[in-house]
Amino acid sequence: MSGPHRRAFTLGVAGAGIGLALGACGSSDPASSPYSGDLRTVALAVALENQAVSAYRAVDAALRGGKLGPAIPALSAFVQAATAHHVAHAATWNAILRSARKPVVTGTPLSGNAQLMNSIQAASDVNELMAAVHGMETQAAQTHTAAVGNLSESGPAVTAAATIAPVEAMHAAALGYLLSGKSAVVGFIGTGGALSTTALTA
Amino acid sequence: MTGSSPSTAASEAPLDVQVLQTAASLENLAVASYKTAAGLPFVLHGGGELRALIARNRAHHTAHAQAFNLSVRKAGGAQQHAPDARYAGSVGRILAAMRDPTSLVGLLTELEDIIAQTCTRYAILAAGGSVRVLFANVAPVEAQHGAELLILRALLDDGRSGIGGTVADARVLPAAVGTAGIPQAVYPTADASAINEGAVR
Repeated sequence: MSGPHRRAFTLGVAGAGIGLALGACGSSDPASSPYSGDLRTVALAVALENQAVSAYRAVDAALRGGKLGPAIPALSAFVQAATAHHVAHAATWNAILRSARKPVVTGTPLSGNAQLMNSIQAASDVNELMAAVHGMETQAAQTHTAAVGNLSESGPAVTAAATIAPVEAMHAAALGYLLSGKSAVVGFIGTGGALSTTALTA
Repeated sequence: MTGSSPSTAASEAPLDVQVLQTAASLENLAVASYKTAAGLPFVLHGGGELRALIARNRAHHTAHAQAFNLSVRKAGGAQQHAPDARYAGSVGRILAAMRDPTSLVGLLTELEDIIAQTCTRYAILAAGGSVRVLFANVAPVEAQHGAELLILRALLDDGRSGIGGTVADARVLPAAVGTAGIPQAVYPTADASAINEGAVR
């Protein structure tokens, strides 16, 4: 991402401590939500990024815990880098909310969050653990890809979706390739697994 | 990889027609490059992982070229079946002189990155909804090709021919291989092709 949009995001992130914030609690009724239209798509994107950060932190803890066998340096390095990317993505999306004078999303207000975190906690081996986050990354890439087409106005949100979706897709591809030695990349990223804004509980 | 920018004046075709034709020209270049790569002796007789990626990526780029050309016809423009003129000459010369997998993977990675950056940029620029969706669907796939090639390059640099495929294999990989495929938090667009670079003239 480059140009004035990116600079505006950076300025917005600098003021992250100012204003309202919505965490995991909230209404599932869109009528009472502070987010509507394109900003509901943006809020969903933040929630997905926050979920990814939480998921990778849980994965990191599991890898460090020893329950899943000896350390895997390449996987631990991947987890650290991917976590940092998702933190940056969340800041980018939240800056758009802030510039629209809407509360930022600091938690994981998603209807499927508990199921994902449970599957990470319950993983009995590395493959199960990483399958959960691989699915999460694919879902994020497809959700952002769908956003590029669904957002009604061109501007920072479209730029964010278009420049972040390829990164989530790379996370998924790299993770799959590192663990299986086989590529699972398909010809078009697709949007069949994209989350709808109805999954947002804020 | 370098190339010369188009010297002719910008086409007067609508924006969506120009970007679709340019995207098709880049996909055509990728198809031709992967076809040449597949026939290189060190690929034919080398590691299976590189051969598999070359065959699979070539098939994807063929599908992408067809999709862009189908879309440009719907938008009222002429289909683009030629490779991108800016890069075709230099890529062809580099491929002809290619003697080792590491250099080849480096070239293909660069090519994938240019196409991914271009499709990302065009997803932002495109006027039509369906055209925007098409670019948004293709850009992440080119980025994924790049991610896998970057990992393969890191393995080759470490003296390995492939990744293995089990958790036990993954345990002995250097940490650098883990991050090789995910080099940036935001996909760049600074190296995107000019919108009229592959326009049919």
